[in-house]
Amino acid sequence: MYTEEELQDIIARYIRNEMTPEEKKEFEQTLEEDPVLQKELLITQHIRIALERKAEQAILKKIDRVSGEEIKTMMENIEKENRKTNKRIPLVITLAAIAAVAFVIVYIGGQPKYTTEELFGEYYTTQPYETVPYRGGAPMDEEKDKLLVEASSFYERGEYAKALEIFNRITTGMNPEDTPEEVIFYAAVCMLEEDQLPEAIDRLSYLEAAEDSDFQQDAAWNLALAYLKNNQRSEAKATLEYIAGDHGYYAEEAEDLLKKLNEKKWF
Amino acid sequence: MLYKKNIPEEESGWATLYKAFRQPFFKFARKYVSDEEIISDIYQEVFYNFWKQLSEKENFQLTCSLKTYLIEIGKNTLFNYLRQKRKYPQVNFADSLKELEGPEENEEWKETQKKIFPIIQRMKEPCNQLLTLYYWEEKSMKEIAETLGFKNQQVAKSKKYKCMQAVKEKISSLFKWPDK
Repeated sequence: MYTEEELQDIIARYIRNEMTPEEKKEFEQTLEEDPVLQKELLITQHIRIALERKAEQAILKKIDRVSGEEIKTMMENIEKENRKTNKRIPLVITLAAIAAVAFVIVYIGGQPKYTTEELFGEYYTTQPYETVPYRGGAPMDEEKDKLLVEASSFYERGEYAKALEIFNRITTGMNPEDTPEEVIFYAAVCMLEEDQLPEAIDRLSYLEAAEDSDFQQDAAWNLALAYLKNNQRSEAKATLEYIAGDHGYYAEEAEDLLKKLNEKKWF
Repeated sequence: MLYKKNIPEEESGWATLYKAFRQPFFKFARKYVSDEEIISDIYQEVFYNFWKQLSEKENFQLTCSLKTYLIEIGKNTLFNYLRQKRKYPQVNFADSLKELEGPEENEEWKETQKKIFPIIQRMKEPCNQLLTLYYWEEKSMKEIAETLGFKNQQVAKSKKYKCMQAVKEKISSLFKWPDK
């Protein structure tokens, strides 16, 4: 059941052709069975037509003889005015747009110039396999030594997945402290190559923390790059700052990479 | 309270007519043509022909309202445009046109209208302008609120309801239907 005001609105929407086809169909179905609605509609239509006649009579009194050119100019001017009105943007929208643009400028401008992925691609090269004097852990048995030769051979051929599989066989059942640093390091590089990033970071962090390790500097550098590849920008920065401050053989490169990491897009 | 004038004094009758019929025509045409520029071109052509008919033929007698007459020219022009473009309306064109033409004006209707017309002629402001803008020019409540200087569209809507109730009270006895 509608209030009088709601009923007036519904009838007005019908008369002004503002109903959807579904609404119109429903309205006309109700209209057929509802004499009150029929009366309300008829009254409203009469009022509308009377208003129309009244308005037109007033205008007809004002109508003068004008030329076709004058009519055309008048129409063009009104259309021009309408186009302007349609294009006019409210102040609040203008201000919101300015704020949005400023935000975008600041946001984009404050974004890093290089992505971590770009920097990783630029600075990373796979560490060549280098056999080092046996360090860390207990001596391995003959079988594991053979496996290490096999793994290094896959590594040198760039078959990192296969090399990693063998490294894993070597380390199965071994504690980290018993595992040779060479195995830990090159296994970590294989993981870096194979996108097993958390595992690579875990092993490289272990070696980087061991200050007397032969792999310490290599591990630190590769750790920084592993962080970059894993999009851990702040961790990469911290590691690079440490490398640069340590004045080791990666110091210069670390400083250079650090500078690029800190560069913003616009300001 | 002073209400803004609906029809500025300096505006010609033709300009007033052009503006008054523009919105109803656009509303109708948008059902078939989405490009506002095209509708604008069609409407200018329609209005130009309307002006020609009214001003060039001597003793031209209208048998219906100006709006109905303009819409009649409008529907033919729009239909010709759609035919040229081979775009046939998806909805029932004839039904839509019937909507625009309004109620059927039989003898009974004409008799009732004769009695209602003087009541509408005597209608006071702001109801006169408000209802004319709403039912004849088919303006939105927002536009009406701006034109007549109401605080917002809610105020205009509430005023429209009161104006309609006042008119209906005066003319309701002319109708023989049952009361609510």
